[in-house]
Amino acid sequence: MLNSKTIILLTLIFVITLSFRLYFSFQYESLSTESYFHIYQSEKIKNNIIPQNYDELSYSGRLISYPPLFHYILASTSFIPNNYKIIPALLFALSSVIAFLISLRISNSKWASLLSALLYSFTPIAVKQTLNSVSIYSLALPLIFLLVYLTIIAKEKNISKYFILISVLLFFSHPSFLILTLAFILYPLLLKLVNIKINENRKEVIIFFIILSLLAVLLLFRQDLSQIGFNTIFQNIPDQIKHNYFRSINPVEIISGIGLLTLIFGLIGISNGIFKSKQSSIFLISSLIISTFILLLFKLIDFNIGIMILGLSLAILSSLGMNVFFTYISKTKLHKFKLFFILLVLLLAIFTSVIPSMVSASNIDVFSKEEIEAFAFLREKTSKLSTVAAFSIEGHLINLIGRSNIIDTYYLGAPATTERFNDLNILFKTELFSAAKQIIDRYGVDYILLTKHGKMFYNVEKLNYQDKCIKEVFRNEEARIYSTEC
Amino acid sequence: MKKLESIAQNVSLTKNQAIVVVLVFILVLILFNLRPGNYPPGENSYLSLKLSKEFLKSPSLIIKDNLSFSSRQNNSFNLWEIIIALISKLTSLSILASYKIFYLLFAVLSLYLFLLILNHLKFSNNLNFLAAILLIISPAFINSLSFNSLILFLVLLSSYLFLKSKFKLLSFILFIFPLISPLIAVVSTGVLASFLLRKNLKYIPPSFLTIFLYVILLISNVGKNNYFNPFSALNQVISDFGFYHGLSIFLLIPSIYALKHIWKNNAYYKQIFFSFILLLILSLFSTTILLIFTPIASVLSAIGILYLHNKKWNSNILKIITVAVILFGICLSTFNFIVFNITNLPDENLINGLIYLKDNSPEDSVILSDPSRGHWINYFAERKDIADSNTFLAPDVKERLKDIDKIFKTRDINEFNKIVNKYKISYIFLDSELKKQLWKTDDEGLLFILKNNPDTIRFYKNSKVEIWKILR
Repeated sequence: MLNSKTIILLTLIFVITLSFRLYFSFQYESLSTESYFHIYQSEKIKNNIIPQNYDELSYSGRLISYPPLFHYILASTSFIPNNYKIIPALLFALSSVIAFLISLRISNSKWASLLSALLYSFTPIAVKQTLNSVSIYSLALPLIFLLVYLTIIAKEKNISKYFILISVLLFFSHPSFLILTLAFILYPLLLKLVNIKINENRKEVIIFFIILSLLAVLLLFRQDLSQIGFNTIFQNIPDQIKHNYFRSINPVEIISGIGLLTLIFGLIGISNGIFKSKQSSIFLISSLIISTFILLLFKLIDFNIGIMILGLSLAILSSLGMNVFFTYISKTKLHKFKLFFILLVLLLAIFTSVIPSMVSASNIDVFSKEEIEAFAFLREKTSKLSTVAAFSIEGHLINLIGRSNIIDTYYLGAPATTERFNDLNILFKTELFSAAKQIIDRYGVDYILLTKHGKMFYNVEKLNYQDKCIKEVFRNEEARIYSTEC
Repeated sequence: MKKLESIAQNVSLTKNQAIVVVLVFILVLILFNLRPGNYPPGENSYLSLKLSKEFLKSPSLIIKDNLSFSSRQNNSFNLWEIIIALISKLTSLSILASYKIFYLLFAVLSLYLFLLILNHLKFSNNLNFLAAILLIISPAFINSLSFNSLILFLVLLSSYLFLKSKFKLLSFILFIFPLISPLIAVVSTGVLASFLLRKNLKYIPPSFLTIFLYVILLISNVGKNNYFNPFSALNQVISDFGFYHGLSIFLLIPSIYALKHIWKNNAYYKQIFFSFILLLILSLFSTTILLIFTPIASVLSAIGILYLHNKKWNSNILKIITVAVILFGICLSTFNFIVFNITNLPDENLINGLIYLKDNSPEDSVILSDPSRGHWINYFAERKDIADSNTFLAPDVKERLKDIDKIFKTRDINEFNKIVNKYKISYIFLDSELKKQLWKTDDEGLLFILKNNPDTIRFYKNSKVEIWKILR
């Protein structure tokens, strides 16, 4: 049982996490660029109630399949002002409580677990990826870690009903449940390596999850599997950005994204849990780390998302590392200074995780006020039937204002992503109007939007070709809109 | 009804179970035949149909195939195609009808043999019943109704004779097996032989010599022409990735679980385990091997499912959902495969296009299309292709596939003319599905040339097919 002091401190961590996220989130006028996909989908749910599998605006018409739970949550909370900022922040803050519960199970130390929950909440890469963002991971990650927690306590308690419920919620949230599926496949193999017999209750929930997750894949991605088969795992990402999307592993990026203290205590926790205490729950979280590593190695998961999952898992494991550290201190002559060491770790946590998180929180990539003005112009001054050519990350916002795009960043199941990406490259960079005209005609482009993001990506300030057919109809410091009138 | 009861007893099923097996078989048959038109789906059946048709035209041993790869050495003895051609001639049934009747007959016999084998292995009624249902609804078995159920029958017959120690008859079957399907004969004999050697036999079937010679031929040609793409292989083997006639992933998982369950650390079980793994790996290289693998996977899967069901779980609800999901997943794969087959090519438009080509082009014309359309061009249009999917022992496979790829992608008229002259191409056959696969826009690659080259004219067009003629 938790004592009231621990509950108060845990509540404090929750409140600090939520306040931190909301404070920084409200510093921005718009949301991070990838948020607009989820906002657009939740708006569609609000209008149609049932998710539509055909989207007439995305890619100027395409089939789309995406687990809808997150969009239902957003749609049903639309009565809350700024729900797109509040709900993801709340979900992520709640996950720090789950991190605490797992940490407490593996370390049996309240202090270490509280510090671990703090490190979890302020993992710099997680802040960068999910703050001021309508990020699906703010829902998927708490559910994944909740399932990990339920699997750990399955040894002693009958949690099957909760496990079934959370699994189903996760399947309807995001395909990242496959990371857990892989972890659940690796877990018994790891235990076999060190001759630990898997607990029967855990075995049952694991078999259940693996089987059900396969069915979920077949049902959710039936369309994509029928068309591109096993290649579905590569998500149909255009060839030109594959190398950006799935980068090679860089140690410096990993350390700065995870936080040095988290990394050190996390690794101590793993080595102690595996080699010394041989705790089966450490093997479970380690298999989650290994499965993420495997996916990163084969470039099957976005680099930042992979590092984020690694960071959060290590933050949980760091509780065991810290416990080992504090236990060691208490056995030495320095035991009188245990509180000092706790404060020292707290201070180090502030330097290596909280401050880098604040830096990350201040540098979130969002659409600027000027860019938003350009989108407002498109919404107010153009016909609803218009097709707008723009950089792929702007595609969802174009859909949200009710206009068709040529490409956006939800590639799975989309038509000819590589060709479209290439065509836009030509449209923005060519100096020949004839080459641009071909593309304009091919996709029926009515407007060309060039924003700060597009300018940076295509390395142009304006369109390089001139013709009587191309008229600049909007211009501010960061964005230009051209109409194609021939 | 009494007859059914005695058959049920023979195969260790209860009367009700036997009725359900028959009903499921009939249901699968009805669903499979919902496909519009008479012609079987996919391309594989058309190789056999073509060879039988060719044999009727010139009744001699088929050594050369004049249509495939614009004329090539044959890679099989084609005994079955010859038999069907003769039956068709004697009974005045069409070749297609003869194939359909015999494939249905062999599918029924295969199922009966499968149950006899299970009976011999002394499994329980419930296991026999479940394994039979899993076999019937497996995409590989359903596919064999239009192609290859004879091979399935021979595989099961060989296994049955082996189990019954009827080695004289077995050696006769193994002698004729390579004349029908050399590859399957090699693999199934290999697997049987590994068990046969354990029986300490004095008698070594003479048929092994035939197999041995064929293996040498096979090995000497491996690597010359074969392409291996692991992803497309996985799509073919796992039915859920692309809805081909592979295995359901939900059949595979309980099979692996069963292997773990029945595992005993002795040589016999190791042999079962390694045969399973070997067949699974070989299936990646040739999906026909799934015909050997599927009956084994069905039995193992039934063992796995029943073990999961009969085992005491601490949580009953988890057990019920897990078993239900596995069964639902297997049915889902079957459903997806059947739906895929109903809509799969060749359809009426495609056949009409090819028949038009047959009626309106010189007999020695060479048709350019994707290799996956080769057997259809040979069978319906009776014209030569540049390459088809029967690549084993075919001439210059790599070069031909490379040239086809090049001509599909090029917008360079000189390169186009070079390839056209090299293979003496007279017509180009394109269907809408192929166009969707190869090109995203109408002015890409070959489409651009066809539209702008004065030496190519559109010869035929319907809603799905277009044929272009090359003027010389």
